[in-house]
Amino acid sequence: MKSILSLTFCLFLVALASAQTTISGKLTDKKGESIIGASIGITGTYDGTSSDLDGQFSFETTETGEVILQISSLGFESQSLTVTLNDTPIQLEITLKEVINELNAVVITAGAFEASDRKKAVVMKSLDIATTAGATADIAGALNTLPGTQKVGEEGKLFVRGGAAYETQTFIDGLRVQNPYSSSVPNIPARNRFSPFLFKGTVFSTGGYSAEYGQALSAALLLETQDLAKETVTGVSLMSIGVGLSHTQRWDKSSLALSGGYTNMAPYLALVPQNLNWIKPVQGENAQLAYRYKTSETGIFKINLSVAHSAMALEYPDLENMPATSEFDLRNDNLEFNTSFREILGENWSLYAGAAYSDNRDRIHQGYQLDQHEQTAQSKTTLNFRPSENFGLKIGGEYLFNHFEESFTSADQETHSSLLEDHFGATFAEAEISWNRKLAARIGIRHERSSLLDAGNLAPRLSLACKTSEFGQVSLAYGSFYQSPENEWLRYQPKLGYEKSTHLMLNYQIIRDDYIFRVEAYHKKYDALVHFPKSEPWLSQNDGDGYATGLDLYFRDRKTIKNGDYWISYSYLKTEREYLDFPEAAAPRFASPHNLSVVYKHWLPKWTTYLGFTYSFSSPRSYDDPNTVVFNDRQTAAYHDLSFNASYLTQLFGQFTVLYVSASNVLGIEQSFGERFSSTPDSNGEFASIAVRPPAKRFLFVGLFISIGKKPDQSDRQNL
Amino acid sequence: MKKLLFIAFTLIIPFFLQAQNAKYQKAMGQALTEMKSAKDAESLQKLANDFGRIAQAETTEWLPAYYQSLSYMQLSLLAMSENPSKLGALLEEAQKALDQAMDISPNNSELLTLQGYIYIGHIWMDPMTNGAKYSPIVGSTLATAMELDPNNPRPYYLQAMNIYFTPEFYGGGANKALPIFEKAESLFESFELASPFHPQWGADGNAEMLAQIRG
Repeated sequence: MKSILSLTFCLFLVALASAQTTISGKLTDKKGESIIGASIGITGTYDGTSSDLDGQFSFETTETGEVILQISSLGFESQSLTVTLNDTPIQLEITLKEVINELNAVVITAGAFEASDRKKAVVMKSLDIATTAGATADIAGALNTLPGTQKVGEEGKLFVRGGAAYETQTFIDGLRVQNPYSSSVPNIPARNRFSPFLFKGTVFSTGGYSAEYGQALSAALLLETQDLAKETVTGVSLMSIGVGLSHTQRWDKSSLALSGGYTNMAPYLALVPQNLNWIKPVQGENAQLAYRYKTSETGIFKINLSVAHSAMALEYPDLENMPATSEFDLRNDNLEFNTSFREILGENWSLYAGAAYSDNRDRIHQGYQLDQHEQTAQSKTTLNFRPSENFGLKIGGEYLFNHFEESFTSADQETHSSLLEDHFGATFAEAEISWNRKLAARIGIRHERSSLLDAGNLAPRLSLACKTSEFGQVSLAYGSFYQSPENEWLRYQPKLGYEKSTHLMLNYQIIRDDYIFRVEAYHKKYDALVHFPKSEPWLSQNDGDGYATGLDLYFRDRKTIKNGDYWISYSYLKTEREYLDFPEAAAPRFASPHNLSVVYKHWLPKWTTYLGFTYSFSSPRSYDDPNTVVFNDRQTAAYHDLSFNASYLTQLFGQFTVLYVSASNVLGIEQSFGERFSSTPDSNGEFASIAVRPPAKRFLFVGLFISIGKKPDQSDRQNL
Repeated sequence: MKKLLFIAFTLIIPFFLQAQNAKYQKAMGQALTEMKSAKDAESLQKLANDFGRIAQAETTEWLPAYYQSLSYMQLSLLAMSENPSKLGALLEEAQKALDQAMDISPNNSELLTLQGYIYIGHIWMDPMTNGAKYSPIVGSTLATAMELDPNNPRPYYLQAMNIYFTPEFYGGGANKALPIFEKAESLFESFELASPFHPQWGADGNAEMLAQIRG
C-alpha cells in the first residue's frame, strides 16, 4: 500500500515536472484575415501568449488533463474552449466573431435624425440646437435646418415632408405633449414651449418611426430630458425681452432645479419698428421645476413641471369688416406635468413607466370671445426584453384621456359651446433583429382605439438596414400611420374616422469622423383626410387624400475648416392633396418644392467667441385667391434669410458669463408670405385680403447669462 | 495512512505556494522589465495580454490588473495619433482592468490616479462631447488620490498635465500648471517604493514638462 502510494506520488511529481504540451495555431476573423495581438491562455494559470502579425501563436504548458483555453482580442468576442493536454502537441485553427458595437454595427436610420452626446455617430450634437443661428434656441427653429422640413415663416412650427404642423407629434420622455408650441396670434411665428437645454437627446424622425409612437401622420420629435444635474449653480439671465432666474441644487443621488422667468416685449417693440400695432405687447410669466432621483446605479426617477401664463393684445385687421381693425386679445395659461421612471430589471429586461398631465387654456377676444380649454392625462409603460445582442423585443401600452371644451360667444352675444372627450388606448410590440453586423430589421405593430371616434386601427411598421461598406449603409422603411382628426374639425363633426398615411422611404448614408452624408428618397400617401365643402365643416367626411414625394440631402463637415463646422441641407418636395375645403387636389399652402439651409459655426479661441451663420431659402408656395376662378393659382415670394448669432464667453464679477447676440434677416431682404382672405365676400362680391408679412423686418436678441458658482470647463463653448 | 497523507499534504502545500509565489515574482519581473522598453502597439498589446493572464490567475493581487490597465492607457495614447477610431475601445479595456483591480484593493491612491488618467483620456478623445462630463470628475478623482496618499507624486503630475492642456481661458495654461509640476517633482524625489513591483512611472515625463515650461 505504502509503496503504491509513494509510487503514484513520484509519478505525479515527475509528470508535474516533465509533461510539456505545445499549443499552437492561428487566429482569423470571419473574412479569413489574421487577428494580431490576441491573448491566448489557460484559465487559472499564467501559461499563454499573444498572436503575432500573422495571427500565429504557440506556447508550452506543463498543465495536464482538461483545461480551458481562453482567447480574447480587442474588438472580438472572447472564446473559451476545453482541450485535453497529454503531451501531444495541439494545433488549433480558431475563428473569432467581431463584437457588435455602435460604431461598426448597422443601425436603422431611415427617416431619423438624432442629436445626442452619448453616441458618436449622430447628425447633430445636443447643443447644436441651441447654437444654430436663426433658431434663437428654439427646437423647431434648429430642426428646420435639417432636410425634410419646409420653412413656413409665418407659423414657426415644424412642417415635415408635405405634412401640416399638427402631423408632427412631440414626445417628452416618451409621453405625448399636447401643446408643444406657445399660443400665438395668426401670422406671428410660435415658439416651442421647451428650452433646448432641458434635453440631453433629441430624435427627429421625419417618417417611418417605431411602433412605440402613434397619432402622427408625418413626424415624431422625441425629446429626452437631462438626467441628474451636474452641479449646484445659480443662473441669472438679462435679456432684451425679459429676465430669468434659476437655481439648481445637486445632492449625492438627487437634484432639483427651479427656474422662473418674466418676459415683456414692450421695451424691445418700442425700439424696433413693427408692422403691427401693439396695444399690449407680449407679456408672460413662467416657472419650471425639475427633480431627479437616482433610485439605483441604473434607475432614475424624473419629475418635470412647468407653468406659464402669457397675454398680448394688438390692433388687428378685421378681415370680415375691412378696412376696419379691431383689438385682438389673447391670454394663455399652460401647465405641463410629466414624470417617468426607468430601471433595468435583471439581466435581460428593462422597464419604463411614465405619466403626464397637461392643462392648456386659450382665451381670445376680437369682438367675439373664444375660450378653449384642453386637459389631458396619460400614462405609458414599456418593457424591453433583450436576451442577446442580436434580438430585442419591446412591448408596451399607453392610455390617454383628453377633455376639450370650447365656448364661442359671437359679437351679438350668441353662444355656442362644444365638448369633446376621448379615452384613447394603444398597445404595441416591436422586435429588433440583427443577423450579423451587416443586416438589421425592426418589425413592429401598433394598435390604437379611441372612444371618441369609436374606432380602432392597426398599424404595421417595418424597417431594414444593410451595411454596404465600413462607413456606408442603406436603410428602407415602410409603415402605416394613423391620427385622429384635429379638434377643430371634430367639434363640428364628431363622427369622423382616423386620417391615414403610408410611408415608404429609402436612405443611404455615410458617417465618418470627418463628414456625414445622407440622401433619402420617400413617398408618402395620404388617405381618409378630413374633407368638406367650402365653409361647411359640419359636412366633413374622411374622403380626402393626397401624396408627398421627395428627396432629402444632408452633408456635414466638422473637420476641414479648423474651428469651423458646417452643414448643408436640401429638400425637394412634390405634394398635392385634396383635403379640408379644397375643391380639387392641390399643393397645400405650407408646402414649398425647394428648401435649402446652409449652417456655419465658427469658434474664435482668442476672442472666446462662437459665431454662427444660417442661410435659408424656400421656393414660392401656392395659395388660393378666392377672387380668381382658378383654384390655388397664386404664389408667395421666394423666401431668403441670413441669420447671425455670436456668443462671447467671459467672466463678470468672477462668475462665468455668456453674452449672446442674435439677429435674423441680417441683409434686410423683404420677406412676405402671400395674403389671407376674408371668409365671406363683401358687398361688391370681393373677398377682402391682407398681406402676410413678418411682424418686423428683423428680430434682434441680446442676452446676458451669468452662472454663479459654475466652474468653466472646456465644453462651455458648446454649452450656450 | 492518514498521517502519511497529512504529512504529504503539509509538505506539498507550502511547496506549491512557494512555487506559485516564485512564478508570480518571475512573471511580474519579466513583464515589468519588458514594459520599460515597450514603445510600439504590438509590444504594449502583448504586455496588456501578459498582465491580463497573470491578473486572472492571481485574484488577490491588484498590481497585475493595474498594469494591464496602464498598458491599455499607453496604447490609448499611441492610438490618439495613429488610430483614433480605436481610442474608445482601448479606454474601455483600460477601465475594465482597473475595475478589477479596484475590486481587490478599494481606496488605493494609485488606482484612483489611473482612474483620473482614463477620464483625461476620454476628454482628449472628444473634448466637445466629453469635456462637460469628465472635467469635473478628473479633478475630484485626483484629489481623492492625493488624500489617500499625500506622498504619491502621480496624481499631482496628472493634475498638472490636465491643467497644462486646458486652455488658459478655462483656468488652465502653463503658468497655472507649473507649481503643481514642481510639487510633483519634489514628491518624485522623496518617493519610496513599497515593492519593486509598485508603480513608479511619471518622473521622467514630469521632468520633461518642467524643462519645457521653464524653457
